[in-house]
Amino acid sequence: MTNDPIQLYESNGIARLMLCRPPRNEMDGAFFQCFARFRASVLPGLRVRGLIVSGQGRHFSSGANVAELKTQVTANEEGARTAFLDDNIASFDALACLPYPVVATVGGCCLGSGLELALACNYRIAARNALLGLPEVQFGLMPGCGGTVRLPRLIGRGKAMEMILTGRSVLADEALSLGLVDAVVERRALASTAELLIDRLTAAA
Amino acid sequence: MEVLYNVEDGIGRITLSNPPHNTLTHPVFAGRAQMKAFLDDPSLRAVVVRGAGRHFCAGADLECLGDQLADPDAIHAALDEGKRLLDLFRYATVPVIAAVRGSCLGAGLELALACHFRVASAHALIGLPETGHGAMPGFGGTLLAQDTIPRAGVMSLVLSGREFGAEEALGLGLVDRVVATKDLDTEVERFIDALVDNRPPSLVRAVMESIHNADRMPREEALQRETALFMEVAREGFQPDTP
Repeated sequence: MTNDPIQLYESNGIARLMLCRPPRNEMDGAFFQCFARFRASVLPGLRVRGLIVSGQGRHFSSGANVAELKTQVTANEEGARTAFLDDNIASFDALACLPYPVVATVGGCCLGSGLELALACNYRIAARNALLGLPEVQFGLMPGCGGTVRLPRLIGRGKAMEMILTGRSVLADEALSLGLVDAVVERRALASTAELLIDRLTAAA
Repeated sequence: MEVLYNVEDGIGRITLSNPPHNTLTHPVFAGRAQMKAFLDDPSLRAVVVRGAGRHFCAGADLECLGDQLADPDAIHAALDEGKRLLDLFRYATVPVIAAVRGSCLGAGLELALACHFRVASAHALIGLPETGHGAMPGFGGTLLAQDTIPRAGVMSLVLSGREFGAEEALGLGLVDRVVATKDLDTEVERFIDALVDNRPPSLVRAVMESIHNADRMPREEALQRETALFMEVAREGFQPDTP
């Protein structure tokens, strides 16, 4: 078992990608580097019928490390500044283009780039205590990992505008009525619900 | 029909005026250059679209339309041009809120749907009644409605030609809030404050532009553009601690 911020398991033909920096599973530089490695060298070789993305512990992810982000965006090297962001977007985008269902199981906080990761998945199943949002405007930022593109395409442009401009978070039930998540279940049922969904989607294949 | 422009405290107001029902006498209901200049004003933090008097807009003036149909090529071109006007609302980089009082029907609803949000008074009447007249919505309604309500809802909205009260419109998702008629103006301002108060205007514009790209660019291009906008925003101002 490695100590990487992202770990991959496989069982019963389903891969499980787990964010492993509990409790917050914050997405710092090490996380994104690990994801880029995963995208380049692990993902292409996976022969599975589904992928479940989840966070270890109480939360899915609290999002990016804001202080580290500031350092990177104010760095002076031309090209380096946007390269890391393009890399992050490409990493999440890689999940959106796989030939099998990708299901995010969301407990606790799923904020900022954490939600952007979940948005890149095909489905989102939330626990009752889940809290989802894109709070970047509260830091004087805007979502930078696909949130302004994926959220309106998922829940409609007006609702997405309202959520992103206010930076507010929604609980699981509101997320369900918005279409931001596809189901709300007991926390202990997250994994089994995701597996059942993948089974149903791939049964005829 | 007259279109009146006014700016006060950073809120731009566009008033449609053709009393009593503010019917549109022509699809090109405003001058494009003037409308664009108004919406691009960097001092604006939001725009309110409203009708003069007691109604928002009851739709196209059917007598005028009847006359205009005598020159089908001209009216065809005018409808296309009018839709490009509505695109100015749709792709404006500040929030555009329709303040809907009274009748909001046909082209009036299509105009309101081109806005980002709709706040309706309790007595508003909302619908696309064109099919009841043997016509169909020709001002973008069949498409714009799909941004706010599911496709099946759009089909029943258009094919039934029904006119909905404000609460029912809220339930359908056609409007975002219903308020007492006397409170409409203050509630619209509160709605705007909740969206943009304390946000740097450049941040709001960057967010809006990126959201618009989600439906007018292919995904990859929109994502790349988001990165560029993110960098501009981050460079401008960045407080790691929540206020």
